[in-house]
Amino acid sequence: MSLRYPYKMSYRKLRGTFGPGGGPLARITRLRMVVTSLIRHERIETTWNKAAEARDYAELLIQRAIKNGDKHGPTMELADFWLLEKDLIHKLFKVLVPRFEKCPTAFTKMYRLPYVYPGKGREMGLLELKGNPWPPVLPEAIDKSKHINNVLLNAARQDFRMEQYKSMDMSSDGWHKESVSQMSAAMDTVAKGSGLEETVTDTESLLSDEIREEKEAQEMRELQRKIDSLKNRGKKKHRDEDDDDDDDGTYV
Amino acid sequence: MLFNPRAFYRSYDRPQKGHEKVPSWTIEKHRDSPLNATRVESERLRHAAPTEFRYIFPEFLPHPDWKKRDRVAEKLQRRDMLRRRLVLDIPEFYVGSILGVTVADQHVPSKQSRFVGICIHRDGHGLRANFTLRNHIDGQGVEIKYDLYNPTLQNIEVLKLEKRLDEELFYLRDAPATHSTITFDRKPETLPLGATVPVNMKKIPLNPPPWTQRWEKREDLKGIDLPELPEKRMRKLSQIVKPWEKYDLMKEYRKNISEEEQNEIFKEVVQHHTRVEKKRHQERLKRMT
Repeated sequence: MSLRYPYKMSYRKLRGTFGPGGGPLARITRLRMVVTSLIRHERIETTWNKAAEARDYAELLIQRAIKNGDKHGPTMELADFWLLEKDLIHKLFKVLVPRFEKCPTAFTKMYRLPYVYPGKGREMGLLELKGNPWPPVLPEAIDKSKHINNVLLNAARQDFRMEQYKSMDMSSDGWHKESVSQMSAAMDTVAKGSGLEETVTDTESLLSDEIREEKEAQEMRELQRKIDSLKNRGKKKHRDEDDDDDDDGTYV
Repeated sequence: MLFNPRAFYRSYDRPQKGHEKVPSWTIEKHRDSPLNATRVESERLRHAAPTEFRYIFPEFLPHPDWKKRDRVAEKLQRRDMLRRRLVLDIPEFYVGSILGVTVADQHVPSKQSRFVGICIHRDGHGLRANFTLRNHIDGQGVEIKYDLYNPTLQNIEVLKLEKRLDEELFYLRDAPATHSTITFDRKPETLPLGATVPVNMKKIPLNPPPWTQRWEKREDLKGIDLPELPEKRMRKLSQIVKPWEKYDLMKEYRKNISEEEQNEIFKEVVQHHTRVEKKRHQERLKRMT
């Protein structure tokens, strides 16, 4: 029984709930109402503080229900206290417990809602149970790496970098001309082999050759390492740098 | 994934049904040897399920406030605590038990001083663990607070192992002296093996007020027999009562360490147990031969 997200050690007093002079009883009553509506609707919008406080209680209540089951007296009493609408006690034990039994992460999720003028004068939050029937809050991310504009931009970026390496001042850093020529030759082969020229015309090759992409990425990484090692040859090595010239990515 | 007490305990020390030979070498040797006649008090602890450890070794649990925690310091402290426990037998005791403590004292001819009293409070985490003993000597109430892991403590003897209805007995200060008086030459009382710790359901009648604390406001204390108080004093009680507190899940959560973490911590204690048993067994053999 542990909360699976960061929690505060100080509780929020929720002052002013139900008007002045409410105190701890008003706070607990308001939290009961929020927990009840969360269990009923599975997604609610309230002020951020109430949602954040009620989240802790809802999580612990569900954890208790999972651990003890519905034949355990004190757990039933607890559910009876927290769920003001008594049909939700059945939902907690018969619907939510099977849903979250094997869930290793938190059962709830919280989002911050945008401030829409005039609003309620307070930050609003959205609290939802995972696995709820509503459409997702955040839209699913679209993969735009294969879009033509991105493909062209990546190719242009690589061309620019290669030109930069070729035009670097070798004599001042004490580089060998051979190694540089090797490097530029290697980069040229990579550029040819990556099929960057082809991608513009042959869209089919793009879709099918995932393995080729991985190889290109690996070759680029190796090249980068060689460049870095050549750069750092003259420089003093710091004690905490694990720079292995022979590092080819394999872990011994 | 999670520490499964049943699976762990099965492999640790408990004899299995239908198996002639038990995997653990301690039980096997102990049973086969002719020295089985002597029983050690820590037998009770040996068969304790890991879930009981949070009551037997409460000082191993860290502070529940995560802002006050230091995992490395806790680990080092636990190691030191277990090393101390190899030297000195720190027994299982609860608030309400009667203890006799011998402390090294340079100002006394015998270089030792002994105090006997009823444990009224147990506090502290790690090496800061302490307990308070109360006794009434020559008409004067005396309370002494001892550090469990103080190296000058030479002996901690449990004269009577029992629990009370409350976790703290500070109300004995406002009770008649007879309830706090314990004779110094009290003989130790042993419990039968495998018995659970008895709970003394005694309700202490308090002296007439004024008291050190307003005991009528403490609804969590079950061991008090409140006398008749003036109506004015009792009037405010209805405002103080908080019946919802027992359902306040987060309040309880913030006060305690989670079960998963407790199991991890007590794994180390279980390992210590086996070491202690091994050492004691060797010592017994030496004494006999």
